[in-house]
Amino acid sequence: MKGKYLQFIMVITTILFFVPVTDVHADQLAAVQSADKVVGTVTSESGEPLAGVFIYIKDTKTAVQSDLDGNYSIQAPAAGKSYTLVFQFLGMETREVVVKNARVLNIAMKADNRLEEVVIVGAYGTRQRREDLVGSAYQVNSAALKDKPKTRIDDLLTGLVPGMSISPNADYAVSTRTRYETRIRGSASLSASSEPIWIIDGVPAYTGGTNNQVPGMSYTVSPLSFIDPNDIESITVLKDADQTTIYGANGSNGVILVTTKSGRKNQPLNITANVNLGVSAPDYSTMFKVMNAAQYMEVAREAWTNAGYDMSKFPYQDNDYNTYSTTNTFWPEQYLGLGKDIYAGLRFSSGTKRVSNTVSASYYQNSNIVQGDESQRFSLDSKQSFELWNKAELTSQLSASYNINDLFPLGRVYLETLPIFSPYLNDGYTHRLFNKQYSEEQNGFYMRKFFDNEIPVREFNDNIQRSVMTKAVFTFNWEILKGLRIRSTFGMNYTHSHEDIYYSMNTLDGLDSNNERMGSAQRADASYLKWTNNNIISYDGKFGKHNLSFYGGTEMSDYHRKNSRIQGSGFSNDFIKELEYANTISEYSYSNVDNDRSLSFLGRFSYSYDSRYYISGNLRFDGNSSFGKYSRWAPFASVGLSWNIHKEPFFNSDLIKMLKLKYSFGKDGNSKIDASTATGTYTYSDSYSYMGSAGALIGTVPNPGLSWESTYKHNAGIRIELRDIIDIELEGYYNTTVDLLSKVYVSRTITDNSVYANIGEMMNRGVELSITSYNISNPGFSWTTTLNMAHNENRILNLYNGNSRSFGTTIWMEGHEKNTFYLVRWAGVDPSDGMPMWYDLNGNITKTYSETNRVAEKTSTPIVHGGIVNDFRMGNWTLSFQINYNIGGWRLASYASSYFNDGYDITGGNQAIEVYYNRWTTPGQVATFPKVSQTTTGSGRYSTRFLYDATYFDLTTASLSYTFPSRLLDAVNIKGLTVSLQGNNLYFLTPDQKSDRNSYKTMAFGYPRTRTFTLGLNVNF
Amino acid sequence: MNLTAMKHRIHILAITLIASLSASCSFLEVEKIGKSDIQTYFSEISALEPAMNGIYNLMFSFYDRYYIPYVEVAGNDVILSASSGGVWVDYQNFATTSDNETSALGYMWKGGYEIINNANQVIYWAPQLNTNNPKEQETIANVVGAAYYVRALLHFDLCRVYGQNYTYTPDASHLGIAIRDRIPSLSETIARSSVHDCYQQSISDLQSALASFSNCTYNAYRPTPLACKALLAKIYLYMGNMEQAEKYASEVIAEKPLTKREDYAKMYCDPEFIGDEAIYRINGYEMSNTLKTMFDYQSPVLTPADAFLARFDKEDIRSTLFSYSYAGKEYPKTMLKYTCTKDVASETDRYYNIFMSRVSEMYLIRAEAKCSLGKTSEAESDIKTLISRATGKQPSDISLNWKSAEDLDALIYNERKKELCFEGHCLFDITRRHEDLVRDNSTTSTVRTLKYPDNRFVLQIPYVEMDANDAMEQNPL
Repeated sequence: MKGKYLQFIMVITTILFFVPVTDVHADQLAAVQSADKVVGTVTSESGEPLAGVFIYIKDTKTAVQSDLDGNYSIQAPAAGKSYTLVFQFLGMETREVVVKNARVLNIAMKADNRLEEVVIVGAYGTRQRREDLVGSAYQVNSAALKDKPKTRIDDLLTGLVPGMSISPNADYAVSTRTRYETRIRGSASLSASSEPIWIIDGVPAYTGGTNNQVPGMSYTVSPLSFIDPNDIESITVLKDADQTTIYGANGSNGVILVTTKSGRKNQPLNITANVNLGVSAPDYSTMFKVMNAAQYMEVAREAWTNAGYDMSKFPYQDNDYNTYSTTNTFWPEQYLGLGKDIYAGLRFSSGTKRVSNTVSASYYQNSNIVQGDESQRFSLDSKQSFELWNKAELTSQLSASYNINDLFPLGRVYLETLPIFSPYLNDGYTHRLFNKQYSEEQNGFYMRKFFDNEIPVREFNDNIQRSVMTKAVFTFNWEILKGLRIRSTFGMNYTHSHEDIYYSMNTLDGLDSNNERMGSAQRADASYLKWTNNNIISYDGKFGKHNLSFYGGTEMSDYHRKNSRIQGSGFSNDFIKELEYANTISEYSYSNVDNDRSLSFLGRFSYSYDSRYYISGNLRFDGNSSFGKYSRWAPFASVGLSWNIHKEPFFNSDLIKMLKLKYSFGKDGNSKIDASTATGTYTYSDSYSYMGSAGALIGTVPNPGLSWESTYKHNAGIRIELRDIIDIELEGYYNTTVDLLSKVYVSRTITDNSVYANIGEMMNRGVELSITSYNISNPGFSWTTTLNMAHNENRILNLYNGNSRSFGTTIWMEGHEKNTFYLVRWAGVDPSDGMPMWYDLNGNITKTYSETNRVAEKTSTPIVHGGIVNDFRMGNWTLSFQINYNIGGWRLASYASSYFNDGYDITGGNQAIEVYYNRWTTPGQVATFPKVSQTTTGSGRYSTRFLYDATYFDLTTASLSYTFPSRLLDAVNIKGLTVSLQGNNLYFLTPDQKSDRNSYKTMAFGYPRTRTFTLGLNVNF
Repeated sequence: MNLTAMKHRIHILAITLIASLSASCSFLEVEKIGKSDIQTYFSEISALEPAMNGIYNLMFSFYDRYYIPYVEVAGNDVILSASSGGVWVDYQNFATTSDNETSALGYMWKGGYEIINNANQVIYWAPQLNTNNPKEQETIANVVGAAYYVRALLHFDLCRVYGQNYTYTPDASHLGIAIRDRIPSLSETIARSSVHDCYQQSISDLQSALASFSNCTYNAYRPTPLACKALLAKIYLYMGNMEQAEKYASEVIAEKPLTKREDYAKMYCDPEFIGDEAIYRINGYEMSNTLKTMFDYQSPVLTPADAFLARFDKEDIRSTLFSYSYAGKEYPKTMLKYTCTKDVASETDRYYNIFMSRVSEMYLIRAEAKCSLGKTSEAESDIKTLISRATGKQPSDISLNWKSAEDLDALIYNERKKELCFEGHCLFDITRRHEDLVRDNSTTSTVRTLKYPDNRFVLQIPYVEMDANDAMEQNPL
């Protein structure tokens, strides 16, 4: 049986890999019979013979290798017939030679600077070879992104960039449009934003407010989802001072540069079509496990009795309206199901001698696994370049997208709704809005509102956001004299969202306090306009072995954010919805506006000698309208050095192709605080009125001493390339943020608000390793591995007055990490009475929970995190998969602290499955979960009980693709055709996972993960 | 591309570059809408009225939500509902600690200083408007006067809450509160001053107010010179400076009559009615209504204590405020000083105004001062004036039974309790007079008596203040 199975696989493999080739073989045979040989010698550029060069005739199986002296001899088609000879050698550029009559062919192969030649996109439109890089910049090109979901452009970078982490901001269900937080080399700020800035084609992108929330909308839909990831050519992440200082006040958290695709000159019309069809399903193994109806009833009754209540007063006694004893609803299934993704994109590119252009249009539709939650994106992107006159070029880029987000913001009810409730009335289809339950206070059975049933909310309520994002960038680039250029960019980004929320009369939200049908609606608008202009003069010159370049200029930008909301209620029916027809407009309607400007002077120079010694420096002055006159301007500067040892005459190694050392130091800033606090403010408000006339009060107290947060960054790196096989880059950094801004409480006799103050210093240090290894590099088969790993350590060096600040479960404390957990230590369950126990500060067991026993220990920072990507190529097949990993670090799991509640208020919501299996029931029993009780034993209060090791391995992407050989496509006039099958979020592994209990695996995400399989088609005409 | 066109382009470019550089100076000046920096705000005369409105708004909620409830709950004239007393139970039991940040203890501290800080802004900025508004000098002077009054009042009231009474030590050198007589700076050291200095601060502020007011006409809902004098009388009474107390009380009595007997209940229960004797009230239109809720006749959190109600004679007009009949239902043992019983068109018209000073209090201050100074018959006459209004009898028909000044003083105190009940005097009258706090049997408190002196007669400084301010000294528990 086994043998047959193997045989089957072999047959399939043979068919898959060799069918197209054997196909060719037939007519090749004929050719060979009447053929001669082609002979020759393969050498390097310097004339040394190359042994082992792989030589083959394109699209055939005819192949040979050169001998020790570089000689080769290959069977070739008859003279007069045209064919292509391919010469391939590791570390050399592959050469293709079209042969017709030649019988002797000596070939000199050029060294392949495959790695060095990678061009890194830098600030303000600069490009440099990776070999010349002084600072730390990591670039991800479109090829690495093609197998990612087309939803948004941030989380697709997860695991690809060393030292960068992208994670959801909540580990519980709060919004179906998860907000992500992005951190580059840890968090450089306590209270100001720690988010990097995104710059798309030179224009800062709008990613929401300081924590990426979109002000003015009830639910945040990230503007990063308004961009088609397929339009991206490359994403460069700038990390050290050398690279980020040029962004001054916004550089301290790192900079992400996104470059979209461009057309090329002298290129015939090229049309690319992409179609992806995806099906997704919830990965239930990552969903938090709660009790079923029987388990729930058993625990609930026990908890009720243990609390000393009489069972005759138990709320869930069967009655004419609810039969609790026989109902068993698996609520997740009521909300979750299959989802789908559709992506279709078309790109046209062409170029003449003086004009190049590209236009793309795409449509993307996603139906979430949370049923009723959908999004659509229509996007258009175009870029044109015109040569106005010799060496003067104008590039115009216009893009727009229209996004419809039909939200069903399912909360935690999908887990916690009691399984003994049914979503429908006994008729099986009418939505249940009430449950009839017993209550002592109500003297018997009464109808209780069933708010947890969100199915009518999904069916009848509206929650739709329609957003338009437009971007326009005009760049004028002119080389006035040789090497001397001016470049002027004007860019604009406008995002507008309109929100329609309607609470239907068929849901509890649409009823008034007397349960009368009312209906209520909200309409909100939020817009964001940012324009930026920079004018740069640059010079590049080469004098013998000296290379000198510099640029300098100004940048100004302005942003306006406006939002308004109007709400009202009282409609005659559910179809009207618009507030024009509402009976009452709420007094809570509002509008507000925010305006911010910045102006900067910037400059960078770099000098290199003989591609060996490099020095570069940056200087930037930033002014920001948010800061008071006292500290409106701030300077930022950096200097960097690097040394290409492998270019030294004394360096002679066959093994080491490249050896580079680099170091940079500089000062960056952070202006992302949202207040103009220096002069203090007065605020008018109706709510300060007296006898009906408006009043005004101090809004913020004057705080003239406030200064910018500054981060001093050191970065040192070494890059080694061994024989074109393995490329290793190791970087270490030490960043200190001083004048940390945070809101602190000052004497209440000054203000009862906390005020921004420069309160301390914090350090981030770490190492990052990235390895690209060309494990196997044969023409028929290749295997490449890219691995990155990062370790970061954060520590608060000092705080205002040495004062620690506790935030309930975390603390800021000198000498500790920023978010060190500050929790009472859990000591388990007392076997004698099943009561919870904790440790006090002295390590003694206590049965009284007290916050004074909190201890600062454990942090959320992992020991190491990163990703590994493997690419296999065999013939026309490609297989690649990516595993992201996180080792170490702790999480205070929200679901554990919410649902390990040991029967407390169990009549109000379902709890974890462990409460059933692991609970204490009899004296002497050693249990991990306390005795259940409807009244609290305090066991659910925050303690180390809810800390979980966040180690995981995540198979995020696997894709298999087949590229059709061009020979087959020529006939139908297709240049390229690739079919792929990709899977996303395939498997999430945690060391503590168990199939029948909860673990970090079931608590890492608010919803079960979305596992998607996508069939993709890429056609190139 | 010809050369001229090219030159033209260079010019345009150069202009763009220069323009963007030269735009730098004003480019960063952004106007913040909805809020303005303080200097800009106070650059126009129109700033003053809203600034004072904001202050009055804060004052109403300070007295309504925390101050008066605290002074009554901690006193002995009310019974706190055992079931709905909430956080007030701790106050009734003198069991608060600095941790009570989110109830009266914390809110009075921060709320009181918020009012003072806003007043300080007005005191600092308003005079600077004189330069550009020569015709508005009177308006400015009266606003400054009102702000001084507010600052004096809040210092005095906070000092009574967080510091022991003035005569706790012979020279009043014990801890009062932090004096805030200027715009705060985030870097300065702020420590508590002695009660003596706090009272002196209030007195000097009231003198500044009186000096500032210029042709200020009477307005019951704003601080006026009359209110300053009334507050001076009260402060001097607390200091035991009876000559000054008598002097200022007399000055006020000379200017304002008592409310007529028939209007007595109306001045509480009809928000539109000011009352003849009103010196200063804070208007409650569209404000919080904590006192109403606490003394709600249908579901009261606070009810008058039995021993307190027993002080009243049947014909006393004041006792009509202690029972209510509405919609055929009788509500005995209620308290209507904060309940609008008038029929109103809309619920927003159902509010109440809080008395800060009224003429009855001036009679009581003067009586107590005169009695203490040995002018017992004059003191008796003052008391009779009030009793006469309450009972409808002629003063000549009233006979008071006393033999010594002490007897008379006790009668005055009894009258004071009846007249000024539930208006934020109870606890402080007890401590000012160095009496023991004694509650009757109907109390729900665990503290039946509290002997004078006791640390618990004052509240602790909230811990957030202690945490944030190293110079702050805590009251002993």
